[in-house]
Amino acid sequence: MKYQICVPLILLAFSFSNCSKTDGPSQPPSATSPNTPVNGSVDLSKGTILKQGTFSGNMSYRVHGKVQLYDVSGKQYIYFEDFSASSGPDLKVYIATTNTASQFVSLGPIKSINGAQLYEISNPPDFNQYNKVLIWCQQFSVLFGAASLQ
Amino acid sequence: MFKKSLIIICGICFITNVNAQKSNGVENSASFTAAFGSSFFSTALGYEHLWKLGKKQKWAIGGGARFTSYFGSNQYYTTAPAQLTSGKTGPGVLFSDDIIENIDSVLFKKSQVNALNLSINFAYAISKKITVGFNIDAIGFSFGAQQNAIFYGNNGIGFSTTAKPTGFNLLLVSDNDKGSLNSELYVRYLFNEKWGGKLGFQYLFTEYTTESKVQTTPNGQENDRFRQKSSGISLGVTRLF
Repeated sequence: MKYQICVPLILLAFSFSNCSKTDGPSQPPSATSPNTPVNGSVDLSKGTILKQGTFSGNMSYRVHGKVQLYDVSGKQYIYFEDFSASSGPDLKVYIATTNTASQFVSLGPIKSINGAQLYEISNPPDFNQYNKVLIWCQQFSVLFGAASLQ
Repeated sequence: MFKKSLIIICGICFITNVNAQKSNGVENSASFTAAFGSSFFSTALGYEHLWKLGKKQKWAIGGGARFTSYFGSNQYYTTAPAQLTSGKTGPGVLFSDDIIENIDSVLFKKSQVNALNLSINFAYAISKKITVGFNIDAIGFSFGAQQNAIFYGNNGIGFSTTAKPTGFNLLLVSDNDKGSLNSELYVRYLFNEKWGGKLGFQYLFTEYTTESKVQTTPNGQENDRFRQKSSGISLGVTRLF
């Protein structure tokens, strides 16, 4: 009779299995943001500024600094200068069409909430449409701050 | 299709209930269960009809119906079809790793899925008062309101979308499953001849279908089905008939 107890357990395992599988690449990461400056290794003096803007915070969130869109040898980069932002969970940098992130390209997790930092744009969108840079709390879909690229 | 499924489920419940009243060695019960986990909770109202097996009638097997309501907040649903997650279908998905580049996600600020399913039920009576059991949804349908969501592609591209619970539920194997399916491993303690309490572990799939095929994999396959796998502790009350 012992084998009978295996039936429900086997069914459980086979039917709802793969508990250990990863749930995809976009799970919320750590709940804190880095707070040390991060500088890229790209020589921006060899590039040209295509567009630029200034961050402003949304609601009670503080986001300050300048943002510049660079072209360096055919590659596009977003550069934050004199940057600071409120700390928050799961902060990401988006290039978006609107401040509501209805369409966007994610540049990944914010590298730091203080200081200069550089983001390579591996999938450059049309910057005439995607002309906002957002600091976005992905986990809770909240805008921390935004800058318009002009 | 919903009406047909509802009629079939009600019919089976009626038939099993009538049979139960006629014969010995059966157990009919209804349960209400609530489960809690990270960023979700769910409630389930179920009915089950068990046939007791063997001379000692400790083992029991049967079927039932269960209505599950699931409430989630800020949850990621990931690519559901086994063909995309594992590159194959059938039992082989159990032994294959996920294909990470094929797995995108949809974030729901709020998710709410209702599922009415027929279930498969097992139980073993440890004593007169204590029973351990397992049940799993097999087939049924789901419904719920359309929800706003954000699609996140592996390539960094994202956009707003909307989605509704996948309508048809079917238990197959692992990621081959379709729709929203609940399961529960529990211990039941009978307070008296009619009432008992349940403590268990719930494992629940919920699935949404987006308004369009929002995902395109690197090799060009399109997808609109996204799944969340939730687990949590369940507490419930049972009424024997």
